[in-house]
Amino acid sequence: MVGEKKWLPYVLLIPWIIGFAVFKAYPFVNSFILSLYEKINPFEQRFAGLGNYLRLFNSDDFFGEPFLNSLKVTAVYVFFTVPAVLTVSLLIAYVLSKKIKGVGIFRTAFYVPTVLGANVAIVLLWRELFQQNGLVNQGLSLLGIDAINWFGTSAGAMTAIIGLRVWQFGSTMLIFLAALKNVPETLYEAATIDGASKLKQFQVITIPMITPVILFNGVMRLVEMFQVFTGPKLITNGGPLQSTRMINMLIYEVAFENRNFNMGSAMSWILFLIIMVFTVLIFRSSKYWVHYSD
Amino acid sequence: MKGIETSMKKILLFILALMGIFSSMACSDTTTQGSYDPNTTWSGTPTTIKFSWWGTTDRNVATCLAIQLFHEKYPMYRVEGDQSVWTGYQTTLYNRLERNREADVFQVNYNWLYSMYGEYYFLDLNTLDLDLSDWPEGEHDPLTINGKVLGVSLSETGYIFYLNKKIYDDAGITEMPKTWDQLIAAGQQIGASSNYTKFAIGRLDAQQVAILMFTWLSQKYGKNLISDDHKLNFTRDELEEGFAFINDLRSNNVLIPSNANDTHPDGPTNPNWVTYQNYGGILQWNTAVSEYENVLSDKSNLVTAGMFQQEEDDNLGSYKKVSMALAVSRRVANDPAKKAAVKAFIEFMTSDPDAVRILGVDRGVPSNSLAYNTLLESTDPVFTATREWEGHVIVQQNYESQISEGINLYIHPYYEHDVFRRIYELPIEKFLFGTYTANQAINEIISKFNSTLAQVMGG
Repeated sequence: MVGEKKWLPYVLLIPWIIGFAVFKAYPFVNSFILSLYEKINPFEQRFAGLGNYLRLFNSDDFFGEPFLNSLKVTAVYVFFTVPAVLTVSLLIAYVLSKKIKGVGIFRTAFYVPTVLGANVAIVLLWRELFQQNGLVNQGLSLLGIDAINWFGTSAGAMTAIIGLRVWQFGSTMLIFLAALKNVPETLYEAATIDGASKLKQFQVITIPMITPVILFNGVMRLVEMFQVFTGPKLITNGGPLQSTRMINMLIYEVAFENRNFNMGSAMSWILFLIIMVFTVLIFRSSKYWVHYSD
Repeated sequence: MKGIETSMKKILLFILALMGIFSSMACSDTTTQGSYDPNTTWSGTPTTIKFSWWGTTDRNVATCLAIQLFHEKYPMYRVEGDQSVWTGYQTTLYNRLERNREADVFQVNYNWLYSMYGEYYFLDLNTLDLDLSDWPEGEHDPLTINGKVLGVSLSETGYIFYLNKKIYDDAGITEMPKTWDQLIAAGQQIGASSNYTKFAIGRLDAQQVAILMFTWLSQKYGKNLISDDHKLNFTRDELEEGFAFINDLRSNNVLIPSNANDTHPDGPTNPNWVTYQNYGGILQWNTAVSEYENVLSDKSNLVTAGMFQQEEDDNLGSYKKVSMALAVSRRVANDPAKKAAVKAFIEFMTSDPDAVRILGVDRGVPSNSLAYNTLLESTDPVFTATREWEGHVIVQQNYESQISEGINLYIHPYYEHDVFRRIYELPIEKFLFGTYTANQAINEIISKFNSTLAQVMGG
């Protein structure tokens, strides 16, 4: 009877396999093939080999120049956002892991921005907050700080966009919170008896004990940040002066607005390779700083 | 029991009322409104076609009413209206074209015929046997590629200035500027009287500054931006003069000193235009002026200024193009019934007097002469008093005047191509933000203009 049901798991997996094949595997393979061709007209394309890829690294080419700019802009965004999200979410999680009054309410409150997500309403709200006469500048003026022209400068616009993402630290925080709860209390007790300060305990107990989770969160956020789209698209639409035009925005414009799926696919593959290289590097480096308790 | 029955009736009535409201909201093709008396009877199965367009509320309402009238006049045909907003319309259309799911008739921009491979996707309208003799001579030349007429022109449009009279009045300016020098003088006066918080024009984006500068250069040097052999027609020295002129406008309170000072993404909803009214004018397509006009608390303050001139007696410098066109799906070619329906619908929308009166100037001043005359003679409403119409008259006058001097300022079909426009817009934007000098901007424009134009034209 048991033997007769061996096929059941495979049958149950069929919907997932179909979904994976249609929506992941096929586009994945097809996009690579597309990236090797160049468009002549809607019904004709010719083999270009690595021609599209070479164009993307030529700063004089009208695809290459914006592509290289977007790569740089995205790198800046990732460089600041990933550490910021990890740091803020870890610190908040650490505080919320303590037995303080009303901690449930705080946990919910801190998770709300993530539930809201980078949806259009929140993004538009964010854009208004950072306007010249928006709430952020009004707050700064109460502190005696002059209004900042957030969207008039590259740095200001980037800060606003990074701020939106850092604000949505909820899911990262939740994972850290679970990890912190799993750190044995006995370790802290022993350290307290030895006279270690809270800061020291955080450094030598908390951090090492949750490094596997830091690795997980780090990789997940890195992949996510490289693919950022909604926030910058709706807040700045890549401005000012293309300084927040992320790589995914450019891919969208080239593939879906200009209808050049060949070049869009080539850009996507370069993005994929970059994410893969960084992921591999992080995993390779993990043997030096991630501690697994066996 | 009776109570339940009464409640059920109420609920049923409520549902029916709701259905009634929704059916009238959704560009209904069955409800008959108005007093038109149909003169044709039809008992067979009507041929149904689909028409898609983008527009704001006014245009949507007018189009739905026109479709309704079409059903009354042509009961053998039905039109399913598919209205949408501007944002995303082109992407959706492109998706549908690639999947053979596009509407039978669809509204397009003139340059899409080129950038969207209209030659491959759109029906050659010669096959519909449309009578195009009621359009001005040559009107469909820009809509014709390799002998194929790919769109029926609805209207033409050009960039001109409109001014907020209140700002000029407040500064004590009694006569509105006509020349660039007068505009600069007005900027100085407006600035001085407002502690330099108000501007004769205000903020123009890179696209608008580009057309302003190219227009000024065209007036001065009698040349179009792009030559007949598709090359940059202005020299380095001429471009330097153009950028210096933009600097003059910025330093004399006509334009804001730096676009970094105001990065609001949308002109019509910019608080400096709507709420604070710090900006004294706009440079806009005459077909798009209503977006700016409708948001003003007192619409009568908006006056048509046309294009500022080098000398007061000049009438030069309006670039123009076909604003919108109706294109037809190539699938229609294989369906004689749909072909007939599409032909009837296009003729109706472009020349039927009743339809034309309903549609008004919501798609610009009609280029079809029958439609134009219908609106010209209309007394209720008076279409000639609209800002669109006033702008249209000036654009045509200036264009013809420039033609008489041997200069054709028709907008090049690839001028607004997504890739090509970056070549001149981005350096100009950097210049407006103060991160580029004029020389840097000019170098970048000159170095990439011809090669990029050749590449995008080559597909």
